[in-house]
Amino acid sequence: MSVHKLQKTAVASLIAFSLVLFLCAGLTAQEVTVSSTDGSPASGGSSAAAQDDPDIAGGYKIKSSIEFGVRFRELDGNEDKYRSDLNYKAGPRLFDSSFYATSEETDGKPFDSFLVKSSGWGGDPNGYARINIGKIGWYEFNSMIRRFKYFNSLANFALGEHTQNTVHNMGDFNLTLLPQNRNFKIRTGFSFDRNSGPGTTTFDYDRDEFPIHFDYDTKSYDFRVGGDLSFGGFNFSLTEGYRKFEDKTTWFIEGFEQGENPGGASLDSFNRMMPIDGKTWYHKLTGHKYWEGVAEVSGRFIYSETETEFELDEILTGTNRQGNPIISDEYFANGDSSHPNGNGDIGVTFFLGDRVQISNTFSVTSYRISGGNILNNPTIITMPPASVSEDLVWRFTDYERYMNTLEGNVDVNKFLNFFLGYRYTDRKVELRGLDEDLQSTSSSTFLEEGENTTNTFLAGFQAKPFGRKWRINFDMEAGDSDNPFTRLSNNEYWQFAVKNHFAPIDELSVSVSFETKDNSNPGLSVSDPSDILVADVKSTHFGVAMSYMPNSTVSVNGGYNFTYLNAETDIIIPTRNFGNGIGMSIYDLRSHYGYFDVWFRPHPRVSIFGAYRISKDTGSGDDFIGPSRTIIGSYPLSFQSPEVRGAVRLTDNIDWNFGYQYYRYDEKFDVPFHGGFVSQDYSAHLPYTSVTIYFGRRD
Amino acid sequence: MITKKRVKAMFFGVFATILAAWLVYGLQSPTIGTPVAEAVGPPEITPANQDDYIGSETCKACHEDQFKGFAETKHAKLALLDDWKDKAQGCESCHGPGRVHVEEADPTKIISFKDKSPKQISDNCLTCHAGKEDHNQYRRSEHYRNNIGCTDCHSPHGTAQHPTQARSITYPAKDTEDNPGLAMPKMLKASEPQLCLSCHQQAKAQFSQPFHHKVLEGQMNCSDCHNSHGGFEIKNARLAVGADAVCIKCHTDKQGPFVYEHLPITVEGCATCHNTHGSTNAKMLKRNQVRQLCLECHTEILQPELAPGVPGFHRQDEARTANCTVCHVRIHGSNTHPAFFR
Repeated sequence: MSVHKLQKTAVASLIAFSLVLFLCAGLTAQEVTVSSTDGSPASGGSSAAAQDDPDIAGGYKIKSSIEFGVRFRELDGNEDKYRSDLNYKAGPRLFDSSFYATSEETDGKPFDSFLVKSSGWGGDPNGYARINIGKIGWYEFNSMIRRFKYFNSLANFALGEHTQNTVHNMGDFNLTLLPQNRNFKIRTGFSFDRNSGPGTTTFDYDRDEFPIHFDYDTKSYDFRVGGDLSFGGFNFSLTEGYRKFEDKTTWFIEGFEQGENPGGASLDSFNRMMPIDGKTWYHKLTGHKYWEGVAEVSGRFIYSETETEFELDEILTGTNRQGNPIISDEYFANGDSSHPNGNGDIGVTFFLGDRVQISNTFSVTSYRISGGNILNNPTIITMPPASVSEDLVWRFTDYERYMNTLEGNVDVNKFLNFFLGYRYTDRKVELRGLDEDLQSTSSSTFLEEGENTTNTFLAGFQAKPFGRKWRINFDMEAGDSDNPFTRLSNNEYWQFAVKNHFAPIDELSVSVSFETKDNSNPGLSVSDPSDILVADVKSTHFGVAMSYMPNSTVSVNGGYNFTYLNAETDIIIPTRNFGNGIGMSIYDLRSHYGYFDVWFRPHPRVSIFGAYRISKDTGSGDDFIGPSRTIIGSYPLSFQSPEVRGAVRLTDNIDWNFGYQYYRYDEKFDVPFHGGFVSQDYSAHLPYTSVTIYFGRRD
Repeated sequence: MITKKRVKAMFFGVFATILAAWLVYGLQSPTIGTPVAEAVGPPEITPANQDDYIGSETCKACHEDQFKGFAETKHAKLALLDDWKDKAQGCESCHGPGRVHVEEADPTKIISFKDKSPKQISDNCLTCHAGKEDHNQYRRSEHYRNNIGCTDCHSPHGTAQHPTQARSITYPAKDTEDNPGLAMPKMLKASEPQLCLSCHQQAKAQFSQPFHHKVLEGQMNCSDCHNSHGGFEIKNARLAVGADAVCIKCHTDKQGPFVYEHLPITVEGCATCHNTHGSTNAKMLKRNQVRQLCLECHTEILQPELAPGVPGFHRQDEARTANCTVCHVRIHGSNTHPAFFR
């Protein structure tokens, strides 16, 4: 369908839909009371009984609404990028809907609070439904079901060959029995997670890369039961849980595939199955005791053990890079891994009078990950001759971390408090491995260790110069670590943040925040200690936000955020002609985010919402490619989304909504893609109309 | 010449001066010397004299608006439970006995929280709410030490009823009278994420980037990953199953354990490479080009197995070998290949 036709269809549908709604409204017009002379919203009702008690049903006070409608879509530009970012589709849509029933009396009723809330079903890529039911003293049931339609197909990620079009469903269900009992509670829970759908990825074979398909299929289930016990002022909670997960993803090609390497290998067939099954048993015990005005102690102990088993069955045919037919190249493997993990934490706070608190928190984490496999690789190739390899592998990772935080907190007066603190961590990781060729019985082992400590000083204050109307928070942190495991970790760093919240009158609030970090992380080359390689990251964030609601008919919100990030890292870059050499990775983020929204009610029956949001990153400006051995990875882009929406109250129980949203994404540079360049820019027009039906609406 | 060090020194000098001034001002404050407990004092839950308690219905006569909201809350319904019969109930469970206040019509003869500090107010709430696993660390949390108290987020009188209004087409609105949400049973002042973002405005910008977790859209809540009441983890992060990072709960295929682990994930966590709120880069990565993330670590500054350097044939001037994850597909961990090919 052409864009022009689509526009016409959308407009005609909007008009027809509106007409039907107005006709419906006309039929119920007799029930609508004219708005009062003082300008208060119109009120109306359907019956005399309802007028007396319009929202009571079966002893429950009910508030409910459901909004459903249809969205249209007109898209210009790169659809893959649009779907990767937004994925809003044309068609019917169920937006914000809720049902809330409460009763002040509980006797003889199965529940005294019942909430069902859902949003985003239909043409939206993400939807959720929440159910919360409770009866005071007896039970509380909380649940959340979510669905994400995930689409990813980007030209600038993995040569555009890693794509995904999956649906991710998740659910969490928790039931607490005797929730208000002061001595004893029982908790149970269940969660599920299912992610499935098609996609494409790549496979490295014979020094060549092949695009392949996959059917993604992962599941997990989590069961838990526990309880809370209180006696003598001590509080304990115990949770016992079991989690099962599996990955049944399969990989394949649909026909002949030529690899990325010109003149390299090719595949005629490829199939891989690699099912993984895993389970986790976990146990958590927490304790707490508060001695009023003297001290408070809380602790936690967690132990879990995760085990996985896997099998690999991969077979392919084709032609190798020497041009010899591959009659069969198979990989069979099986193995397992385990991950026992223990966490212990204890925190103690002493209250020295009413104004001073000193607390200390100590945490220890320890785990081991061990895994092994046996890999068989029988190969039948015309040249070189058939071969079989069989390898045994073991890997062990041991990790320990101790962390202690000492903090002091002083309330100087009701206008000012400050805190000081010191955090120390000590971490150690050990990696061991065994590789054995079972055919030749030759083997090799390795052992590597890493350790680092960090020292961090914390300080800050909060001031309230005019009581609650003005609040200033200041936090600062300065620290260092030796030999961090990743260069993106903190080494010698400092940061401070100021937050300022000002609300001179109830109707107006203004927030201003500023935060800056500086992290310098030098390292020495293992192969050539004379090379000092520095990772230097500086970032600053500034934000201001304003909210103003002078009366019940107007509200205005706006804000601006600026994030500056400058990361310059010495790296070793291999190039075709010059081999490995020291170069630089540069990432400059200059992100501006501004938003503005206004809502107003020009008439008791009409309310209008308008908003504009823009995220703009100026990156490294005009620099697309840096000097030799320099990688620049920050390119200017902008992402903006204005929208407007109106709601017209047709009757007491029905609103008609109409709106329009526009998305526009622009990148300064086109993206290199398979020898050429492709633009990822797009713009999308999304008109929308819906009705909202209210039950138990009150004026 | 103004050097960076001098600027820093000047900044801290100004800061130290302001702080000292505040401390001196604080010492001269008339509130100093007044014991906090005396000024506020958590109300005694068990009344010394039952006759001093007059019941919430009496409060309703003057405080109808507060009573109306309060009557729908769990706080009000506690009076219906046998377990709480011997405890002060209703309004007086927090505000203390009201007889004198009513008889003398004296607003000073009842506990009012208007002038109390967030910590004092929170202490009052914790007389009942302490001991719950989620609340155990509250007095050591970042919120507590920054004077963010229970009533900065919760409304003990019931959630305020916002008027229904037109709203964004894609972002769910605050809970309203006609479109209630979780804020009401949880007695929050507003629904998530609006409540959290009113202070954490930087997160709003992050969640508005092209690639982001669907928090503004309502599918995820801040409290899915953070425990706002505090915890043993930095940033109040929650732990998921088996003490792994909270990310694993949803990203099941990254859980492992794998025969070949990618150490940054197990040692440093997912946030080593990902901006967990949102990013302008695909997959919420911290760099636009994946190879930058890889090369910034794989530069021979650690031992070969911990972080091997990049072999010479990984030519960065050729597209094939400059996109690391085209070959190293299973970068989160692999069971069959030490270089994460499969």
